[in-house]
Amino acid sequence: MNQPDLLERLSNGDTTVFSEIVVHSQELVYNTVLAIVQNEEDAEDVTQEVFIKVYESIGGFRKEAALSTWIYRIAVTKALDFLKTKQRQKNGGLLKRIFISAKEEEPANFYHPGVALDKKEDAAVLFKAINQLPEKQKLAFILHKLEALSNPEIAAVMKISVAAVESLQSRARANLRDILKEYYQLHFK
Amino acid sequence: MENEELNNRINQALSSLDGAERAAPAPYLLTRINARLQKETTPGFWSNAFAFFNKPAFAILVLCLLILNLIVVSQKQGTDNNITQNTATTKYDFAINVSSMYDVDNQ
Repeated sequence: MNQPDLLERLSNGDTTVFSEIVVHSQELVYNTVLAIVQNEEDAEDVTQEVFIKVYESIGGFRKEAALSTWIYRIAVTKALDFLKTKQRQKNGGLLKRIFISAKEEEPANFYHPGVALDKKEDAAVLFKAINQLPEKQKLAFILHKLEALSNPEIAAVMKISVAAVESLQSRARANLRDILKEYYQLHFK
Repeated sequence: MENEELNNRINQALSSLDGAERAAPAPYLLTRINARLQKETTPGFWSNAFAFFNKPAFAILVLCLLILNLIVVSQKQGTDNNITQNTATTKYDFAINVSSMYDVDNQ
């Protein structure tokens, strides 16, 4: 996708540009959103919302940033917003908290469709652990592991320094080790 | 679980996403997005009918009415006190509060 050409066509009122952006970026958006929300149906909905946001605000896109970075940013924001809303709905009112037992609220295992079959169980455990990470560590880890973004690219998406990304990733790995250790000690005695 | 086995399991889990392929959305995503965009940009009958509720002018009008209402109520409370006082005086002067003619003498 040639960004200067796309933006030129966009400023000339070419309506096919949006379709090209969707076709080119759909996997990027869906894969990122799916890793964050960990549910295929939800990821599909959020992906649509991301592209609607892209459609609505493409006019205000500043040309100094890469188009993909801008789209990643929207995807990450929308996915995190979705999770917050879902969490709020899940917590519900006092009555809901009293009548629904903790067992019912435990999330199901998430099996990422892109992971090889022999690694699916391990990946499901890892995704559960990723869910327990703080938001920024979670993002830095996901963008590196599943989108294979470099640290400068992650820094651009998250609007932080490269050093901060490195620190987030190392803390994420350390925390994941602790969470996984606790999990395996509890489940495989 | 022994330490070495535990470490192996942890490392195995941590590397389970290495080489994972990108997940792809269901086919015809663009068609679904276009349909959703069309739905969102074409307002329905009810959203048209009640569109004026969203206008700032409507909010300002409601606010003005509320303020006006408060002013009228506060002024009315002042005049109510005067009326009550006047009514009591009139009742006394004209003996309106007697229940029967026989009570007139007892006033």
